[in-house]
Amino acid sequence: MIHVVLCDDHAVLRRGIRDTLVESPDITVTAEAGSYPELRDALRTAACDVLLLDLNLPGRSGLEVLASLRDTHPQIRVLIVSMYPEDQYALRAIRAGAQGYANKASDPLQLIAAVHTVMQGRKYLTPEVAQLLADSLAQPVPELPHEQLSERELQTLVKIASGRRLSDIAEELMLSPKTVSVYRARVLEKLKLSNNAELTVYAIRNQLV
Amino acid sequence: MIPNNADPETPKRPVRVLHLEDSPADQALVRMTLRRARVPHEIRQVDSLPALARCLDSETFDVIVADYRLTGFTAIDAWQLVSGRAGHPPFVLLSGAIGEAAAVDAMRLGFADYLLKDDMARLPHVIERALEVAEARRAREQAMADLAESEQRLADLAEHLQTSIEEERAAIAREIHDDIGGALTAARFDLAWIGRHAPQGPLGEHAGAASEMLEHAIDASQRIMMNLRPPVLDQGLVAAVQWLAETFERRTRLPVRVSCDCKAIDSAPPALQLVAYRTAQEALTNIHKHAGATQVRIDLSDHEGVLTVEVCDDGRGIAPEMLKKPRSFGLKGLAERARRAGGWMDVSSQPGRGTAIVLSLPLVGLPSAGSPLTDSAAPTQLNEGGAEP
Repeated sequence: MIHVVLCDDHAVLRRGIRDTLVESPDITVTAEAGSYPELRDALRTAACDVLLLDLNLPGRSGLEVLASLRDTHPQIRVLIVSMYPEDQYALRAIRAGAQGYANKASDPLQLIAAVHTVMQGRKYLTPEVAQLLADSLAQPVPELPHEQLSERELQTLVKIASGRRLSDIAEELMLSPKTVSVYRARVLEKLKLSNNAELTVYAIRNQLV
Repeated sequence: MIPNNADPETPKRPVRVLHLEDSPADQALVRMTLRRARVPHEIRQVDSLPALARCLDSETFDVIVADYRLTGFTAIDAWQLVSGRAGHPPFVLLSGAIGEAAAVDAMRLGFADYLLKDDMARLPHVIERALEVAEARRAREQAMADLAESEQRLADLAEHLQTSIEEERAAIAREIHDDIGGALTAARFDLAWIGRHAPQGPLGEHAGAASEMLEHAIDASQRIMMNLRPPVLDQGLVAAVQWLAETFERRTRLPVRVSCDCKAIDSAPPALQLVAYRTAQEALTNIHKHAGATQVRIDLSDHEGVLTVEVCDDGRGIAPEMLKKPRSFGLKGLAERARRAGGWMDVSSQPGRGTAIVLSLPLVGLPSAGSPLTDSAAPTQLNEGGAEP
């Protein structure tokens, strides 16, 4: 038997979730909580294999509650059930230790599948979350230091290397002189250079001018 | 004669003259000249700097008339004593010949006028003119002060409106999430239950149809909530801008590259992060509507103590005359918002060569370890902490 605890501030919604879950003969709901303090009390007495947790209850941040649950009840598998679409919270919740993220707006029966999945020790990922995870892995890493520069930072670099004065650069790039001087300082820092001469050498070596 | 606010029917207030002169004969001459000219006046005559200072401390005067050379000091010393006082009366030199150079110097310092004692008859006229000029200057200063105050009030109002808008948005988004969204979802669970337990036939079909409608309603409420204030904002600027770029890309099929070279951008004050987010959002909207771009780049950085958001496209650019239009692209509003947040915004664009919107917000001088958005603008609060100025 899988022991499930529900934590959500809408009583009617909890009943809806409970009535859906118990249609699976191997699931029993052992406790319900309408707030995080109630959840703490419930977990003292009720058996809990899987916790269905809403991230956005009044009071503490749900992610903090999730993190502290990982310390106090490491054996509980946490399934986040949220009103928010996956792209808002899912990755963060999974990084904070949740075993899955389900959107309340999706098919109720998916919750049963989710409980079974996490009970088997696997992560429950909707196709949307899986896509987000894949995208987050595919961030390209810039190869050359100056590829970290923004468009206008790069142009500032090129113009300094060509010997332009800051005020002329500001005028040519239609930036305020303040912005140009921030950009110059930032370019030097990002490229680990210390003055305009080194900057010019860098620009020539990398064929930017 | 007194160009005062008093309306024309009321009798004229006498001119209060402070006369700095150490020759009793000349003192008498000035008194007589003013009496003869039938100028209503009160005159106080002193012959030393301490006496001058005492008079200025205890009374107010409309005009100071002073000889140039007095025993042990000159009118320049007297001027230094007077000119340090805010709103001091006009200072007229009434003196024997002092030479052109000294007279020019005196006028440069700010003396109202210079009159030779030989020309004493013109004194009433000179005083009148000095009073008029002083009054005009006072009026101008007052007008400038009123204008500055009015501008400040306007800026305060704009700021208040902005804050109210952000607070309202957060509150509405919150209500949609808590009440509408919760209720719709709960109803959907029950309808799905009815659908599963209904016997074959119309009951199940109706439950299914109703369930579908609810799904639409839930989608709509989520969309409205996102547009009002995406909850991802609570995870900090980088997450929010990345999400903004992804949804923009999906909606417009325009590739957006976000690069973030940050040290601790998410610990910048929430109010600044919100300004940065709204600027990026508005810039993307402009690009979609006007730019005809093929790619977009967003750079976030907080190096050198300045939070910078640079939104760059390769579109048709903004012509200079378009930029001058008062309502052009909502850029004025963004620039104003940047200014109120202590920063500035550049619009760098040339026709045919793309546009870059660059927002710079200095972080130095602020309480450095500002709470991240998650702390003070948690979605559990009704008012968005991030909207506080």
